[in-house]
Amino acid sequence: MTRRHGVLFIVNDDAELALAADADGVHLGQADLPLNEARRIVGKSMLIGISTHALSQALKAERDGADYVGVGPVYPTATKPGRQAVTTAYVAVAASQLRIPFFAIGGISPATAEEVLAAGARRLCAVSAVVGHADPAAVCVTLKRSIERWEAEDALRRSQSLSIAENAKRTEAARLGKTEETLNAPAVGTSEAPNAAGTGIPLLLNGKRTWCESVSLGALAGALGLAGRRVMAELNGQAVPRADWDAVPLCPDDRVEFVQFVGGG
Amino acid sequence: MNAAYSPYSPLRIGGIALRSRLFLGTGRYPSPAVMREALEASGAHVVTFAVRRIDLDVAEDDPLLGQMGGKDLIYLPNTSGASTADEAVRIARLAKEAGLGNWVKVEISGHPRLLLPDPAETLRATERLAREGFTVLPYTSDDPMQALRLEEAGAAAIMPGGSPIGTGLGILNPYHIGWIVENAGVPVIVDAGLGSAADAATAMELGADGILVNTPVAKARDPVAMAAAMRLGVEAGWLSRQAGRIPRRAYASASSDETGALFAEATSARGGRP
Repeated sequence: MTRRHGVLFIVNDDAELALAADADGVHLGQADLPLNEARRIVGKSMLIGISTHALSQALKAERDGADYVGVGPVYPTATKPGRQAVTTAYVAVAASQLRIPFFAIGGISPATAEEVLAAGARRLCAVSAVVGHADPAAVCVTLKRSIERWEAEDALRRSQSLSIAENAKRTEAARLGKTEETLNAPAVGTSEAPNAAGTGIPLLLNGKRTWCESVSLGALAGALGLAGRRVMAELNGQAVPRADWDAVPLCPDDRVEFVQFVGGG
Repeated sequence: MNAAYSPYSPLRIGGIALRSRLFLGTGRYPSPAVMREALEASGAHVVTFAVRRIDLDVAEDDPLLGQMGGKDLIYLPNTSGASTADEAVRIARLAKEAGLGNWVKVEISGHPRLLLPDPAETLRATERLAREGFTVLPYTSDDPMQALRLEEAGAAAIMPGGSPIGTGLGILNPYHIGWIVENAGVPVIVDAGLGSAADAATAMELGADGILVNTPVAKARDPVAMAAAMRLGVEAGWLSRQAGRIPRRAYASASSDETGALFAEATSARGGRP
């Protein structure tokens, strides 16, 4: 039936059944069969997806050869009651860190879709909002239109940002030229100028231009002596759970914030 | 105190029964040690914080949370420093990553001198954070309609200010606070502007479910004594409200019956009226 309509058929949880049914793919949960095990059963050509609830799980899935991941539940959902929502913060981190496709899932409806798309998702998965609605087809059309609108805007932005990136590179080169006399930075950690070896990447760290040798958010926190402290971190406007710090790589011009609780009313 | 008169008939917010109706802020104390003692004296269960950048040029220890060590407290980070809903949501999400619960006081200031909350942005942030599963306590002005809107948006409690933050002017519009209390389906915590224990009692007598104070305690000559006074003020006001005050009257009414008064005839002869 799905083939007649040109739709992919993905079997949930059961790799053997997916193989027997000649399905297009199999979708795993975190508690199901490990990815490599499933891959061994279904072979190279079948799609494998896996639900993830944190960036570390998604990056692991990517490494282990998943074709796509689920990111969620973004909101509390009736489909999986009692599950902690990962919020659009995880959607945004996934959008910036994953190379394989991901689906935002959990509490997705026409009412929440805009926020999820704004966070960077371009694939949505909705259950309750569709099957629980008097007119499921209309809900699907609405969701599809929202996605298409964001994709169109992406395309527009891509064509404009090429020139912006070029400009930024030139500004950076000019700035580097001026600071060459102050190249006495320490070999590890951070500094206000690039080091002698010319390695390291520029960051905006707590609002200040900083050069950093660290490859991950976790390594940067370590270099700053924040490892044992109750500190929260934000990367490019998105809070990053501490458990994910080591898995989040730093890229040039990332905006990093390290914050803490202080006295207040 | 007789248990029947206990002021701690528990206030429930976000599914938690609170030990105290006094919420305490942690800013501006003369020292961390004084803050800790004041916290002890206040009996507060909920304590508020702000979220700020770490000064990466100064090696400092955890300045504040260390003082809380081991206490069973509810942490209520605020979103001060935000001037839009987006910024408030960012701060709330960061605060949540501290792993100290999911309560947040939405505080979005719209004016640098009055620090009065921006109603539109506050409403927007409350709605978004409530949907994300936060226990949201929005700081608002004493506007009864805004209080209703915030409740509809999913606020776990409403926190109207008595007067602008840190002014100590007390409750400038008791009529509005009373109206908010009367119509709210969620707890009302009077926040901001209170100056002394009398203001705390007034807020409670108006029917507030609790109060939040910071500056009047932290900046009192003796913060620890004022923390204790605030606790007593809240208890007194709460009990007074439960007890039910007498109506206000225009003329005196004697505490004793006049029948049998010794000089009733003389008083009458001098022109006194019964």
